[in-house]
Amino acid sequence: MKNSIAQRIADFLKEHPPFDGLTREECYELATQIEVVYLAKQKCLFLQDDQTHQSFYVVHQGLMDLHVKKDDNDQLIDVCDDGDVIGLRPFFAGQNYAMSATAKTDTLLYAIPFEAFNNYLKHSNIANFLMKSFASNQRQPNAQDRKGVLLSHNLIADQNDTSQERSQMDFFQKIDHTPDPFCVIDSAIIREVAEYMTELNISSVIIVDNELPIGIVTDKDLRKHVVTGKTKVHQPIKDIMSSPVLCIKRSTSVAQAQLMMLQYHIGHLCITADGTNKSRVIGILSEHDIVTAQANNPAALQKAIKRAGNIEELSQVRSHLGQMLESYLSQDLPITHCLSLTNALHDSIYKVCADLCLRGMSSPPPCNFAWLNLGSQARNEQLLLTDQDHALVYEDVADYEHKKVKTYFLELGKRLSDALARIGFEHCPANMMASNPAYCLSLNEWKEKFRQWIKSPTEKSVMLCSIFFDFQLIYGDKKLHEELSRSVFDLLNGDQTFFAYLASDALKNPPPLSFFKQFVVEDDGEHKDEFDLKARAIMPLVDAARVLALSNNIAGANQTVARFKQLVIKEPQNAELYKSCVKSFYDLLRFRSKSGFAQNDTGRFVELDTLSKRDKSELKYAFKPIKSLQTNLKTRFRLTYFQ
Amino acid sequence: MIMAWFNFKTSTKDKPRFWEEYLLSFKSSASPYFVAFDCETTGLDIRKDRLLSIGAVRFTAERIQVHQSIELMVHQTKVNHDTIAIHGILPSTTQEAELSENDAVKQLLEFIGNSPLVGHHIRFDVAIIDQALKRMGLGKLKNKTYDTNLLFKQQQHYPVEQNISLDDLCAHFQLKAENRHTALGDAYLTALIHQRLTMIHER
Repeated sequence: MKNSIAQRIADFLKEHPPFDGLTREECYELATQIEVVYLAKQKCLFLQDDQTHQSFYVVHQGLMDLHVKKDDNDQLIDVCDDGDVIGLRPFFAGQNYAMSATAKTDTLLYAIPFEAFNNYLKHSNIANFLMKSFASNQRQPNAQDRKGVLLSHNLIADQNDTSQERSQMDFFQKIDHTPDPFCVIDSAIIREVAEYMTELNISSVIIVDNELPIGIVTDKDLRKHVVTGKTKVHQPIKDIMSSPVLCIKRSTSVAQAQLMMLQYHIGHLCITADGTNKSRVIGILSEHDIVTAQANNPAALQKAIKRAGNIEELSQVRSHLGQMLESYLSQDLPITHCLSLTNALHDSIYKVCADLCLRGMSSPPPCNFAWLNLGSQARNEQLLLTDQDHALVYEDVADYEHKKVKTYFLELGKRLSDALARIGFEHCPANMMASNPAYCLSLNEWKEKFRQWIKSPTEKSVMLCSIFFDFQLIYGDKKLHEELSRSVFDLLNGDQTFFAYLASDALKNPPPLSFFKQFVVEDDGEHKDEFDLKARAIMPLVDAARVLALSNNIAGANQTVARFKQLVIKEPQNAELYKSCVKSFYDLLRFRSKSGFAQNDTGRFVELDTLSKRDKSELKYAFKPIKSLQTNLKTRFRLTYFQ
Repeated sequence: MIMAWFNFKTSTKDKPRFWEEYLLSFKSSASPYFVAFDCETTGLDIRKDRLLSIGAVRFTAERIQVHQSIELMVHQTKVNHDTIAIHGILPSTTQEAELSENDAVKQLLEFIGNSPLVGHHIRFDVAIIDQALKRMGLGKLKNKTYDTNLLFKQQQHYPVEQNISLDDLCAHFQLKAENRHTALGDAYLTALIHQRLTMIHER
């Protein structure tokens, strides 16, 4: 009969990734080899730099804190709960523990011998899961998604935009392999094959039978079997081939391929039509190709931007970036990675775009100026190609020069917005662009404009404020940007009436779920019966973060997430709410970006019928904090009368 | 079969080998682990009721190895319809079980050796095994025993006469009490509870 304990553990494992990729029998088999570990509160499982244990751990019940030592301080990087996997990565990395694990509460862990688990690594879904987890967690933070992470519930998600992080993203791109590899039949004579290899300067050949791969011979085989004299050069190649040859699909990612090579201690994989050795050979993939692939992509895009000599080249890079993001999102890489990557690249695109436009002008600029981004682009919250929103500010000049100067910058503004449109950012329908005379102004004119908006608020001016308040410097004179920011902050200082207007604007969209927990859909217009993800879920968070940050005098943070994080510090009593807002915001952004790529639009409107049950419940979960946040705004700014 | 059993009873001088080894184990060094064990029976009358299954698992202060456990279904013809709902062991299961009570007790003793035993209301489980040993013409269990029911009451200063069920303890320690009323499942829970009880002592 079956062991009841093992059965119970197997039931548990089957519920949690990566073990959900195993059959019930396999889970049971694994469970019989498990050791159950009880850690009382505050007991330590392992310390940073400890040698890796024989087993890795799955939390069954309780909470485990993960710490990293940083400059003599212990930094809490994660809390793991039921079903989370701890200490598996060191087995693949061949390193000691990179962090310490301590029981936060009384905790029950399942210690799974790595040897026992190793047998199941050939399941592609398990390998996938692991690589995904490692890539997103290798440098601890940013595991924002609930789904399938090795380390979950990040408490600190600092967005260190380091190059190391980016190089991990390269891990998931599709690989460039060698097409049309050199194939020979198994009766070919070793010497002739070796001569061909030398002539073609290749290090491996696939042995085929009727176009199907049956084996592989590499330089190493020739060295091992022939040069040593064990096999004679006139023998057939089949005598020294490694067989069978491991095959993969063309769509295999770098991560999967690398894992296979590690697992089987091989340096070459054969690419076939269907990924098995029962189909035609398409290509060959070597360790070298992987190294090359890893040195590629985001970095290569960055280089391509810097080298771009015209707008068309920038446009090409932007479309490559789109493809890359789409594949990253489909592989569920953390949205924070995707955002920081996109922002860095967008930033470069804008800068090069500005350079190119300036070069096209008949003369250099008559005075200093700053080109500012507005709205979601300025907040660095955009993965998709949306409308452009930007403005231009130039130095105050003598009255008699003003007309000439303004004409110059309007011309520049027009070139900029046309260039952006060619790159892929459509013209703003509301004409919020530097090409619009109303938004291409001198510093004093801008100050006066903001003064009007703030001191005599109207519905329209408040709406404009919400867009313009998030401005960010793209190109030009930093001082102009700072000066303008400062004057806006001075104007705002303590202006409760204006904050009330702003807060009321933030409440213009009621919570996205009706009383019966149904999605609130649009009742007329082009998008009838669709859900407006942007207006009903994302903007309420963005707008609330803005007014809360401004009224709390939080300067310098113009991104929604950064604002919420500052608020967590300023208002500890609301910390939980703000933290859940951060999480919701990321989830919604991911959702919008994904559906944007899927529908090839801005992802703003969602057809409810197309959503899976899981999508719906994830969305509802993400909506949760919005209502509390809006209630908070109402009370704080005494808005009951406004509504 | 009956003859073999009859032989046991009469030839008191010639004890079976496993029993000798069991007794001998108490002369060697102390066991490095505890054994949590639990029996499912046809009822609560020590003399009339019979063993249906035995579950036992070895454990230390912090660790339990899943494969270091036994779970034995005992062949019984006696049926008590009142308790079937509690232990969920159908008469057909025990009637079809191939392990005789004697062999089950033998395997249990080989498994526990001189280890301290831990159980919930362990006196009952020990008494049931003692009765079975008696029917085999052998002596009583010699192991030191710990009762999670008593340990808990001592620690929490509960009145002695109050009865704390295994479910109560699971709730107290926030353990998921699935798998209740299988012998090994209960033994496993008892082990987890004992680990927690002794840990509190250490603090």
